[in-house]
Amino acid sequence: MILHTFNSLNAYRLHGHRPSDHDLILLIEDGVFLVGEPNLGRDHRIRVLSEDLDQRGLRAPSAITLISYQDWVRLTTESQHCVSWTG
Amino acid sequence: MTQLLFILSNPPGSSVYAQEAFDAALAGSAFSNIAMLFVAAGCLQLIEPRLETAAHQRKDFQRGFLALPDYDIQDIFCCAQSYKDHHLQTASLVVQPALLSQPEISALIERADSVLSF
Amino acid sequence: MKFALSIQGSPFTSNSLWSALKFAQACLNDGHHIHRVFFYHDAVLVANALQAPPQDEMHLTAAWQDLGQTHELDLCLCVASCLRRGILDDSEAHRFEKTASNLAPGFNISGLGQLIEASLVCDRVVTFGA
Repeated sequence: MILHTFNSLNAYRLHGHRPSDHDLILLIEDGVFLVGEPNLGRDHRIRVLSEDLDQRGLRAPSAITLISYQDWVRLTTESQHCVSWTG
Repeated sequence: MTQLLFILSNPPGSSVYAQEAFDAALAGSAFSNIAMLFVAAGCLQLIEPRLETAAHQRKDFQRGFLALPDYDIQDIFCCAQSYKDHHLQTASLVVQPALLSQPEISALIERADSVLSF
Repeated sequence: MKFALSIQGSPFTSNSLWSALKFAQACLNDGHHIHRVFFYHDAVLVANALQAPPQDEMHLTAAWQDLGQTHELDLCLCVASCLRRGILDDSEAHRFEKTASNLAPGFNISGLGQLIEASLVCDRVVTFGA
C-alpha cells in the first residue's frame, strides 16, 4: 500500500488517477478544498487532514474520514512509501 | 541494488525547481541506482531548448540529459498519458524516455526502495 | 522507525514548512527517530536570520529552531539552493566575499548528498512539496 498526499486541487486534478485501488489518498493543505466535490465520500481511499480543513473553515461530509497528524504518521509507517503529489 | 525513484513534475522555464530537481537526481546517481520518472508538465523538460543560456533567464540544464548515460542513468521514464497530452511525439527531445502506463507507474513506485518527488 | 523529511516549499507561498513541522512533532511524540530534515528549493528561506515578521504572525523559523534544539535534529539546507537564494553561513560568506552571513542558528548547510544518504538509510522518506 502506498500513501499518496495531494496538497492542492491542481495536484489532485493532475495526479488523482495515479493511486491504485489498494492505496490511500491523503488530502492536505489546499488539497482539502476537494471536500466540496460531490461523491468524494464514496471513494473509501480518501483521508483528509482535519487540522487543514479547520484552518480553512471547511466542513467535510460525514462519509469522509478525517485524520490527525498522528494518524498521518501511523499511516506512513503502515505504507510502503509516502508519495507527495503537487501541482 | 537499492533504487531511488525521482518523480519530476515541474516544467522547465519560469521556475528554477526543475533544474534543481535534476541536480538532485544527478547527486542520487553518485550514491545509488536511480530511475527518473517525468509526469504531467514535468515531461516538458525532455524537449530540447532552442535558446542558448545567455539569451534566456534560466539555464538550459536539459542539455545535461545527454550526459545521463555517463552517470549510468538508464532508467528514464515518462508517463505515457502526459507524453501524449503535451504532444511530445512531435517535439524534438533531448532524450527519448520509455513510456509507462499508469499500472506500470504504480509498479515502478512499488518496486523502488525510496521515492523522492520534485 | 527512522524518518527523513524533505521540505521544498517557500515559507511565504506554501504550507509545506508548517505541515512538515507538525508531522515532525507527531513523529517524535510517537517515539520515531528523525534522521534528518532536508530543506530544498525555496524551503531554505526559512533559515534566513534577517527575517523580522510582525509579532502576531507565526514565526516558522523560531518554531523549527525550537524543535531542532529540543530533539537535537539535523536541520540541513541544500548548499546550492542556499547560495542561489542568498542564505550564507560564515564560511560561504567569506568564500564569496560577501559583507555578511545570515544563516539562522540551529540550521546547517550541506550538499545534496545528505538528502540521498538520508533516503538510503531511512525507513521512510516524506516529501513536503511546494
